[in-house]
Formats: sequence, C-alpha cells, structure tokens
Amino acid sequence: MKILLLEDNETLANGIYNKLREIGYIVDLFFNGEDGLYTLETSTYDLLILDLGLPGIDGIEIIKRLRNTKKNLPILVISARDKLDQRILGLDTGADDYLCKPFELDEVVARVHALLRRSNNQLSSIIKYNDLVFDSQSLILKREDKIIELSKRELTIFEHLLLNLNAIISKENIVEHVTTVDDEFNPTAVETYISRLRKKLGDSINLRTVRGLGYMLS
Amino acid sequence: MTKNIPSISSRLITWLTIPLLILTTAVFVYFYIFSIKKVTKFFDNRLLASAKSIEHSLGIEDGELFVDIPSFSIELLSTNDKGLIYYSVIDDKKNLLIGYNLSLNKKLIDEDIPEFYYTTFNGSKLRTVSYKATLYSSGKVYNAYITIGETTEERNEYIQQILILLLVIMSIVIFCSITITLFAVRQGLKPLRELKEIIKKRDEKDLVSLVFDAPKELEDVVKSINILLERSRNTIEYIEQFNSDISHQLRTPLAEMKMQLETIYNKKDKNYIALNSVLNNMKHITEQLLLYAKTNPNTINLKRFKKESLNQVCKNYSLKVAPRIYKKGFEFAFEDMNEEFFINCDSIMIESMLDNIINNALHYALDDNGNPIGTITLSLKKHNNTIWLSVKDEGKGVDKEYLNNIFKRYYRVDSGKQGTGLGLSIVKQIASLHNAKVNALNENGLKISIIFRNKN
Repeated sequence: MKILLLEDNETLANGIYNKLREIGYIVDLFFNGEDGLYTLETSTYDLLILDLGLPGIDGIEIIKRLRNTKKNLPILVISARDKLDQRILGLDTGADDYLCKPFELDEVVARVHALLRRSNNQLSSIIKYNDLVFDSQSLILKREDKIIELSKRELTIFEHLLLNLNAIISKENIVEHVTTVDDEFNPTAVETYISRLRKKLGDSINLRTVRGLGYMLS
Repeated sequence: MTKNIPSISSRLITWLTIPLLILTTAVFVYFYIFSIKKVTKFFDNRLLASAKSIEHSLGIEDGELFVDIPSFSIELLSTNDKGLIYYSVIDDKKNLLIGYNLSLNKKLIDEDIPEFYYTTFNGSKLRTVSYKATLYSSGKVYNAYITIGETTEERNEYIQQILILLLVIMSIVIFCSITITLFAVRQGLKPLRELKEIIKKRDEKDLVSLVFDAPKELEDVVKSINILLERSRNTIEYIEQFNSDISHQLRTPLAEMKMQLETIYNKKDKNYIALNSVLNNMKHITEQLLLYAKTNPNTINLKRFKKESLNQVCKNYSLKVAPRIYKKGFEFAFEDMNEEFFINCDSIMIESMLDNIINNALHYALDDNGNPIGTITLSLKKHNNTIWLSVKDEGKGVDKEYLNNIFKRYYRVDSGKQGTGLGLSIVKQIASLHNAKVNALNENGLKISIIFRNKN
C-alpha cells in the first residue's frame, strides 16, 4: 500500500511518516502543494493524507483538481479548522474523511486502515470478523472452515452490516440495499432476519439494536 | 429621558393646528365686529329715517313751533317689530312739543349732524339719535331738538343670529382643518412608519442591508443604517475569521506537542500518561472556549442559518454519535416524533449543542465505581405548542438545589471532575440562538431539554 502524505508542519509530518512506515506502509512525504500535485500526476497511490493549510497550492485546490480528473483516490484531510470554521471558509471539500488537529497517531492509523479497507473491498472478497470468514464473491460464510448455512437474503443483510462495521444501519437502509425495484419487502421483516442471524451466528457476532435508529455490528 | 421628547406627529399636529386655530379665531373676531357694525349702521339708518319723518311734521304757527303727527304715525313710531320706540321734540325754550319726558334728552345736541348714542330710559337700554332741526319763518329762526331712541332687542337678535352662524362656520372650519391635518400628517409620515415596520419585523441578528425606497428626507438615514449594518457584518466576519485563525494557531502547536510526546515516550510510560492527560485537557478547554466564542449571539452570522427538519438533523446526529456512546459502555436510543418539525437552524451548531449534552451524560452518568449506567436517550416530543428536544441519561441526576445553576458559565456540580464548566452554558447559548429555551429535570437520571416554540 502506497500513501502520499502532504503536510507542511515538519513535526507532524515526520510523526505520521514514521508511524505509517513502522506499520508497513510505503509513504512519500512532501511539504508543499506544488510538489504534491506533481507527484500525484506522475505516480499512483492508494491513499492521500492532506493538510488543508499547505503553502503554495493549498489543500482545497488539490482536492478540486483531483476530483476534476475523476481520480477515485481516497483522501484523508488533516486540518486545524473545526467544522464551524470549515463552513466559514467555504470548505465543503469532498474529502473521504476528516481529522481535526490535535489528534493521536493511533487515530490516524485507524482512519487510514478504514479508508483503505473501504476502497479495497472491491479487490479482496474475503472479510474476517471475529472467528468468522466471509467471502463476498461466492457469498459463503465459514466458522473454523465449516460453512454456516444461511439463506441468500440473510447473507446479503449480514454482508451489508459487515461492510458498515461500527456504523448504524437503519431498517429502511437494509430494505433499500437488499431489494430490487419489483421486490416486495416489508421493513418489519428485517426484524425476523436479524433475529435469525443472531440465532444462527450466536456469540460470534456483536449485533446491537439501537432503538429508534437501526442495527450496528461492532 | 426619551419619554419626554414629543413625537414627530404630535409636533406636526401642534404646529399645524395652533396657527390654524389662531387664524380662524382672528377671522371670526373680525367678521363678528364687522357684522355688528353693519347691523348697527342698518338699524341706525332706520332710526334716523324715523327722526326725519318727525322733522317733516314740524310746523310754525303763531310764532310757535308745533308737531303734527297723524295718530297712526304715532302708533307706528311707538313700536318696531320686537321692541319699543321713544321719541321727543323740544323747542328752544325746552318745552316738550311731543313725546316722552325730558329725561330722555340727556344729551341735547346743538348740531345739525345727527349723533347716535346709547342711553337708558325706563330701565331699558336705548339706541338713540339726536339732532337739531332748524325752521325759518318770517325772518325768524326756530330750533327743534329731535331725539328718537329704540330698545335694542331686535338688534341683539340679529347680532346673535350672526354670532351663531359664525360659530357654526368656525366649528366646521376647525373640524375640517384638524381632520385634514391629521390625515396629512399620517400620509406624510407613512414612509417613516413603513421603515419602522421593516426594522421591527427583522430578526435582531439579521444584518443584511435594508431594502427600502426611501423618500429624499430619509435617504441619508437609511444609508447610515445600511453603513452601520455593513460595518457590523464586517466586524462579525472579522471576529469569525479571527476565531477561526485562533483555532488554527492553537491547534497546530497542540498537535505538535502530542506528536512529540508520542515519539519520546512509550504509551504506557507514566510520564506520557500524565502529560497526555494535560494536553487533552488543554485541547478540550481550547475547543470549548472557541466554541463558546463562536456561538456568541453578538457575533453570530445568520447567513449560516438554513431551514431544516429538526427530526432529520437529530437522526443524522444520532447515527454519528451512537457508536461513540456504545464504545463508552452505554446504550443509546433515539425516539423520534410522528410530526416533522422545521426550524431555521445551523445544523452544525445543533450537533455541537447535542455533543455537549451527551458528553455531559457520558461524564456524569456513572455508578459509584465509575462504571457507565444505562441508556442515553435522545428524543423529540411535542408538548402543546412546544417541541422538546431532550437528552436523558439514567445516572444519579443532579441535586435539586443545583439544577438551576448547571447552565451557568464555569459552574461545575462536581469540582473534583475535570471539565471547563462551559459545556452546558454553550448548550444554552446555542439554544437561545435558535430562539429556544433550556430545561433540566431529574427523571430517573438527568434530562436536559431544548424547548423550541412550535409556530405552526
């Protein structure tokens, strides 16, 4: 995995650079926008970590140019501006994730993992969760190499929850995700599928009902 | 002091009405005097005509003056329509030739020109005319002093009628003038009233320039108001920018310090833990102080307010915050209401407000061992014509005596715990920016509500 880091503050840049290299990523580091943009045009990266307040071409401009060339490169923005300031400056960036200073390195690492996992879902079809292994291509769920028998709809719902780990998914969202236009599917039926999943998967999953909102797999 | 300053309309009414009243009264007095003169002259002429007719009946016989008035004429002479007529003719020797006794002739006029005057006779006021008539006979001169007077009833009646007529005319003129004045003042001040309405209807936080087709006299006022508004807008934008720059300037060194700390120490090192906790506290204080400054009602920019569904804002926020709450060991629930409620709001501020209430719950809804208790519930409920947005925890709540204080700035129930004491005062500040009130209740835990007025 190759990451481009654009950050003008040397302390922060070196901290993040060392940490990411330590855990095995290949990282290129630049301290200004021009160099960053040039490298982006000439090399391929899996992720961009970008400080908005770069000298020269600033972060917003870089995001705009990237999005214009329709690059699907995931972007993690680092900024000292909070959400309220963002709006004052008119920064609706179109970044994939946003980290406000000051942060801990572990947070950076967690966000990097999450972004890479999301963008690489299409590439790798195998997802591991606790003692379960799910193959999203063949729709097979295994526990210790033994296939767990689930209906197709149960598998689709489980996959949807798994791809949105630690996020709340509403019943409506599940219905929308598992049905086609001419498919009749009642939101209350979701409850039935959820309880079947809990029964069949037992302690292997931590599936919560969040009252008023939906379900969360964590 | 301002109370003693008279209003523009009362000034205009006063300064238009008083001169009008003075002028009308002067005209009235002039016409009244003029009419009295005319009436008096008319009646005086009639009186003189009667005197002349007496003069014509004078004759001389045997060297003596005599008056020969036919009896019907005497009767005619004695009365007019309303009053009585008294007359006398006296010769040079002061003999009364005809008429009433001499006391009538208080003023014997030795002139040919008739003289009119007032006198009293038999207790009545008389308008009298006297003059000397001269006759010649056989080279001798005979003088007759003719006096004729009439009581004043008829004259008075005429004058009274004229007075009444004048009073009626004057009342109508005054009434019309006042009505026209009031109408004119009202019409004249219409642009001022319209301007007042436009200003009154505006939200006090709205600093957009006034759009008003001002008449010439108000042009400068509107211009000045707009200049002031623009200056306020610029100041607010400057403060916003300043706050944003401070955030930037403070956060970057904080981030650097945290980074340095992580590079120097192992995460389990007690020095790291102590210093990191200080830094985290500093980060929290910086954020809260900035949030407090950024949500100050005096520097708020209404441009950032949009009409949004509060239900949707709360639901979106719940989706974002729930994982964090579960991570801390609490349960979470969201209770929506059936009805959609729209408000003019800044959704990011609403989220910051809810963040502060929820952080408060995460901080305090703990048992004696510091373990999290129960569910944190975010709910929307309708009560009569208010909408209650509440966050309820299942902790121990707050002692009744402190409940009213928790929204005060820098107030902390438990001074042993870390915190800025700003969280709930930020909540109150953001609530009031949205014209909402705050409320705290103990309901098997602490329930903090933001109460919006439902205008529908």
